[in-house]
Amino acid sequence: MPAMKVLLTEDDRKITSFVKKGLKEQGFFVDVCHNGDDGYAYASGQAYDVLILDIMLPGRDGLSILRGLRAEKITVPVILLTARSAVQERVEGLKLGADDYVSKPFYMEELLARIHAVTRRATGHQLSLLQVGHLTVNLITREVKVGKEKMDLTVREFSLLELLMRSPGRVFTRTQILEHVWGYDFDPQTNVVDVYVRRLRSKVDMNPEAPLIETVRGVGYRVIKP
Amino acid sequence: MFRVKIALLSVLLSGLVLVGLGLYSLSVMKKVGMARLDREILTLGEGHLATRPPRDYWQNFGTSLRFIYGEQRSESLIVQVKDSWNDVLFRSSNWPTEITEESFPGFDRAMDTRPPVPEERDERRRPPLEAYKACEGKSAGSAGQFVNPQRETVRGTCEEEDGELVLRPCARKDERQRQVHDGPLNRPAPTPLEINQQGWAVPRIKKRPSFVTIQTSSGSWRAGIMGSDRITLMLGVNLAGFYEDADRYRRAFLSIVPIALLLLAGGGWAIAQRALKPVGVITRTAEGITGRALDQRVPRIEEDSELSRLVEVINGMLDRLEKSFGQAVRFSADAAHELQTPLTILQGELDDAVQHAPVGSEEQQRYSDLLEEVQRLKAIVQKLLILARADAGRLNLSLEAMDLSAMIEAAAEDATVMAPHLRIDKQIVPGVIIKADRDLMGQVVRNLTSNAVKYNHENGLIRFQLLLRDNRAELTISNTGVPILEKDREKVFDRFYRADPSRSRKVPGSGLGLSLAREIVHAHGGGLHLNPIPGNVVSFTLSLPCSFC
Repeated sequence: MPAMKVLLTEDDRKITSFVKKGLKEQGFFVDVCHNGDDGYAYASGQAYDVLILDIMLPGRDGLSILRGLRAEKITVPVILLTARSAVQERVEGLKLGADDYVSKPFYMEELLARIHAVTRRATGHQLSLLQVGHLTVNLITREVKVGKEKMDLTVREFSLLELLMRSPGRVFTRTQILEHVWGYDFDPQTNVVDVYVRRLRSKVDMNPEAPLIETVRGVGYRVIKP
Repeated sequence: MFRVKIALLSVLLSGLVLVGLGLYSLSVMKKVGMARLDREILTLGEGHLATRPPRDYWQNFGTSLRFIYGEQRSESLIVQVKDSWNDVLFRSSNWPTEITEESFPGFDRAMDTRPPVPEERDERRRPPLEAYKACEGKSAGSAGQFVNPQRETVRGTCEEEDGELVLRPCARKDERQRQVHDGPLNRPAPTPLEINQQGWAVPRIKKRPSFVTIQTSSGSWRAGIMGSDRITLMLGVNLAGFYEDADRYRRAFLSIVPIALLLLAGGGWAIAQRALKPVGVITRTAEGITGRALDQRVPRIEEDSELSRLVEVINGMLDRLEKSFGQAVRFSADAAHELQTPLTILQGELDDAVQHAPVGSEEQQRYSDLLEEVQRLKAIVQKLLILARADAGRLNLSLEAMDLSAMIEAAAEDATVMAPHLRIDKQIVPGVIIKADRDLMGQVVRNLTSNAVKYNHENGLIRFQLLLRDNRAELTISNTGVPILEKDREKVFDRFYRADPSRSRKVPGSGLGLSLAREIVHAHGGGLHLNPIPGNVVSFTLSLPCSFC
């Protein structure tokens, strides 16, 4: 797969700096614009595989850029960056033809998952199977297999496994896992994450010699990169 | 209600006034009528008292009455005339026997009605001592004179009286004109005749004629009595005509009063209606004003200064309200934007640092701890923003079809993990799809679940129950625990309320969860209640409209 070209339009330089870094680490080519006018000029002038567009921008705002592009029949996938409470803008963006959105504050991993999803959708390439070692997860049928053996997972166990499997090698802190699997405001008192990981291991990761789910001491968990 | 009150009040007030006035004028009319009758009687009577008609005048009195008043009128007029010796000079044929002089207690019976006797008669009877002295040593028939006590020289002739000689004075000029009556001996002595300033004797009219109303077999009569020194006159007028008039007036009054009262009630109603019209307008406007429509204003009312002042005050209040609401909403929007950018940077950079630190290093742990704090900050900011938006009536929902059953299953699963010591009992109808904001609804369910775990007994029970009832999804989450007191029942939904202060230190929480949950549920068109269940059970029911059931 050739390296994908991403245009990131976001006025805050600190945000663009870590997003750009994260994207580059995943092998993307990244162009960055800090205002809406530049963003629109870049997006309509060059062919990108995906646009990441902040809504609140100096110059043309994100929605106006999106409207302009769609009017010119430029169908490049667009992911909007919005404030979490700005439901109205989000809905309008999706109506205007945005492919997805990510609410600020977001995790890099979340943005990456969306990018993969929209580019897959755009290229028609289906990637519904996640595989690490002998473990396969079908995202559509929600089927989990260890080797040939089918495993029954609960709702939460499946969400947890899916999160870890999507980004092998990436470290997830416990709060990050909580936010993804349960919600940002979940305050469980006891460490639910540890309990679920233990359960999950007992179902899908029974070889202690070569564990799939690794504990990162004092931080969280990750799935070993094959 | 107000209109009815005003109408009733105006009827009551004006009715009282009307009836009072009517009764008063009726009585005045009666009095005036009576006074007129009395005056008529008095005029007729005094005419006869003042003159001195010949004795045979009375014999034809009936005829002359008929002649003066006509046949009709004279029937309702009765007259009785007596002379000073109580002999009837004239009596109308229809004179009722019930009317006698005794019927007039006010009439001065003590006064003598008999003709007066000249005072000279007394002088003649008892001549002064000087009259005897003047004739001492004189023969009868000889002339003499003396000075009386009034220092007048009295001349006369000496006459024999009772065996003594006494000077009888010559008669005065006017003495001849005076009448001398000598009545029967059994009558008391008459009082002297009144002399007027010109020196003329006039018939005395009784000072106080007396009038009474008498009920007789021949009808009601207004009768008067008056007298002079010659005659006593009793006159009566039949009251039938008078009563007829009064009756006619009363009937007219009685038929007019209800009509007037009806008109007044209608008028009162109409006035109240008109007065309330602006109030209705104000009410409708106030009803239409919500967080979303704060720009509405009460239309100006020109006519009435009191109400237009009220409208001004209300509109002024709405202006201020709109302004501060606008500020609050702008603040929350600004805050969302302002806070989310630094939070994004913090979270992004810390995440990056975690990924790049050596796995399991102290450095990585420290970054991870910081990331946890950022997560906490995010959660608080998010909750406050949702509350601020809910207050402004602008809790925007991004509605999508979601599987509530799966969400509750997951919540039940969480509870087993979070609190393995608790017994979890679930009764969940599968496939309940609702239209909701997934994030916000998840927040509600998580809040109820974590409360059920937090405020439970050791070895307690949590029951999840999801069912469909009347096209609504009903979720009941119950747990054993310290029951919530009746007085605190509604307070649990108050912001920052913590049921038991002593436990608050042990059980962490912001006190925002339930109030936020209720706001979210209301925004979805549902309801969240604390069920009144006795015993050591706390039970909340969440009911939501179910568009896909």
